[in-house]
Amino acid sequence: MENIIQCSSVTRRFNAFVAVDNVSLSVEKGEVFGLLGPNGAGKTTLIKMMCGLLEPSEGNIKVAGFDVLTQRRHVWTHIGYMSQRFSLYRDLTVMENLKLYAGLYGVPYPSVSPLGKGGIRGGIEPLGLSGMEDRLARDLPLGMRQRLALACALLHEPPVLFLDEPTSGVDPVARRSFWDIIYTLSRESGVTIIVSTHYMVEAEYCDRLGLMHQGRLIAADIPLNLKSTSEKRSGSLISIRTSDFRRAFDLITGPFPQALLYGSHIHIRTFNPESDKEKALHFLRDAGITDAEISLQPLSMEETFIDYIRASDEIHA
Amino acid sequence: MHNRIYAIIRRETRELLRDPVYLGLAFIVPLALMLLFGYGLTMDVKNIPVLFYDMDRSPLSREYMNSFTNSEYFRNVGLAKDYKEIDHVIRSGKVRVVVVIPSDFSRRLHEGRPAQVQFLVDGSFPMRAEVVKGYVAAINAQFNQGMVSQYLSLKGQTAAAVFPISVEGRAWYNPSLESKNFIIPGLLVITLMFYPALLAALVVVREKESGTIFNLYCSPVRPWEVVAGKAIPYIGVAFINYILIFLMSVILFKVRFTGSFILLSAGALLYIACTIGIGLFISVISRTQIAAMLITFLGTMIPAFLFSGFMAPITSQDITGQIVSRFIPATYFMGMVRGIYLKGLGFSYYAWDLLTLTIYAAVVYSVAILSFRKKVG
Repeated sequence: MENIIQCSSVTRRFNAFVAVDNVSLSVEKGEVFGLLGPNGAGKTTLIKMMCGLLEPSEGNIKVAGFDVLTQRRHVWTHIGYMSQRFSLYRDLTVMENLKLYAGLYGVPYPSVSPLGKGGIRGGIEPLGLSGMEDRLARDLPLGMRQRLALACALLHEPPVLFLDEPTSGVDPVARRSFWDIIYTLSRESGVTIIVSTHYMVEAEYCDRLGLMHQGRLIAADIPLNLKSTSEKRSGSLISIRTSDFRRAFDLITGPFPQALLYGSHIHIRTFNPESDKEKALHFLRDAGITDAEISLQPLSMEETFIDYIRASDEIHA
Repeated sequence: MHNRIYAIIRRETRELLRDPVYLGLAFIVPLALMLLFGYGLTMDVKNIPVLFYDMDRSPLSREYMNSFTNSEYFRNVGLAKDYKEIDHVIRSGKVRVVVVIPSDFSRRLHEGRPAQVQFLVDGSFPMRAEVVKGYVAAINAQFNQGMVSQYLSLKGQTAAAVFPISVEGRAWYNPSLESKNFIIPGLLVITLMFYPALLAALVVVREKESGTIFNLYCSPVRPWEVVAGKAIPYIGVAFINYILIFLMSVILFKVRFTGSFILLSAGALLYIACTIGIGLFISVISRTQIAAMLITFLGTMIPAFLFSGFMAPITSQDITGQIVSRFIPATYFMGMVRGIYLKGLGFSYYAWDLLTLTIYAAVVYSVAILSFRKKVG
């Protein structure tokens, strides 16, 4: 498969602050590539550079075969961009927003019918905006606005779509249906999608994930591989459930200093899950905690991510 | 290309039309400014409250006082009883001028000796005090002249022997020297400098604040298309403002208009294009709406007021003022407006000003377009 996006040693500094630190990354055509990282990890800065809105301090970026520095206008005709801040014109109606986009991108007028068939890529069934053509964008529920923003970003049928935290603040149901649309675009229309998020659930939907931390891309792989690599590095996960989880956690950090508290669960990463299960159970029982249930758990994305951050911090410490 | 500009124009227009409050403000504010300044900013000194302290109480002193109150410049508010009262009324501002006639006024005159009249004026407002001094001197001279001619005619001589030269003044273009004929056309220039610039100063920076600017940044639209698309609807709005202000000046304020409306409108269109361009440039370089508004206020309203020749002729300013005046479009339009309104001058007088405004507009838009960077950070 060809790489539709290629970032080579991209760095962006804001004075002394390094927002993006030597990131190299390639994305294949038709992939859904997720950028996962805490706020301030550099996801938005990286996406803005890929969109040609921000110049890299070092390195270069190619999108759809065009250099984002020297061929920005070509890049802009080949990408769609939807930002974390809902950025449509709130005082315009749904249809007026779409028409504005059609004008800006030179999409011929009669084919502007993203609410029906055609217009927007054939693979996309109506984005659920029919019947809302004359409503002002500001009166739409957030999930609908997000779809409208997506419709606008897709109007010129870009082969690459950048979504910068597209679902922040949207309820889970709307988020789910938003992702259905993203999948349809990727699988049926071959659109390459770069999406940044800090929702772990969303991260799991991506074909490949780039983990960002303090400006660095600390890993980029399919979610399953990320998990297995983490497992090889830090072991499996055992989870302890008990009603007296606070006291149990205080106690268990003695023999298991790597233990972490997740809500009312205690997570321990270990290479010897079976023996450590027994060890922890006996330890807690001796301390008077008798209702502890210990089980081996599949590694969650969150656990994996935190493990990667920890490993990265150890290297850079 | 045309499609993109058209799309932006249509969006700006929709936004303008959608919000009735905003739309109302766009047209009402300049008219309100004209009303407030037009009625408030009069430089005519008339109906000055005057108080007399007549210690003579003779027919001659009464005649002298009448020569003041018979003019429209002075309004008699009464007779003072003593100096203490004079002090009080000037202090309180009820009276601006006091004329004190001494008790030997008529006696000395009848004896053929000179009499002295004291004249007290509230000098806290120097410009007005200066004008009042002029009025008093003129009225006094007239009274003198009347007395002398009366005396001479009794002796069988004519006044011409004593006053061989007399001055007959006549003001061209503004015969009654009404300040409104001067102020109102000037206000038209000031308002069209400040308000269109202010409206335009918000259009780009507003999108920066709301984040909608990314729609433009990420699209293939070119900077000049954005600037043109945003300027055109606002030039339209400002031109309507111009028409309304013009009608107000001739219908409500009854300013003499003797020139060509077409020529004035052509100048206004170029001038508005300049001021909208200034506003857009400020909008492009600003980060917040508040900053854009302040910069516009300081950069348009104040220089236009002080340096365009609105209040005082440019030639009477120092060299700095004269240089500043060359950099504001109001200077070029001010000359045109006054000339067309009052003197009815034609195109040939203003070809140079029109050309200057055209060049000015070209420069302002070039700078605005070059400053519009489709980049963040």
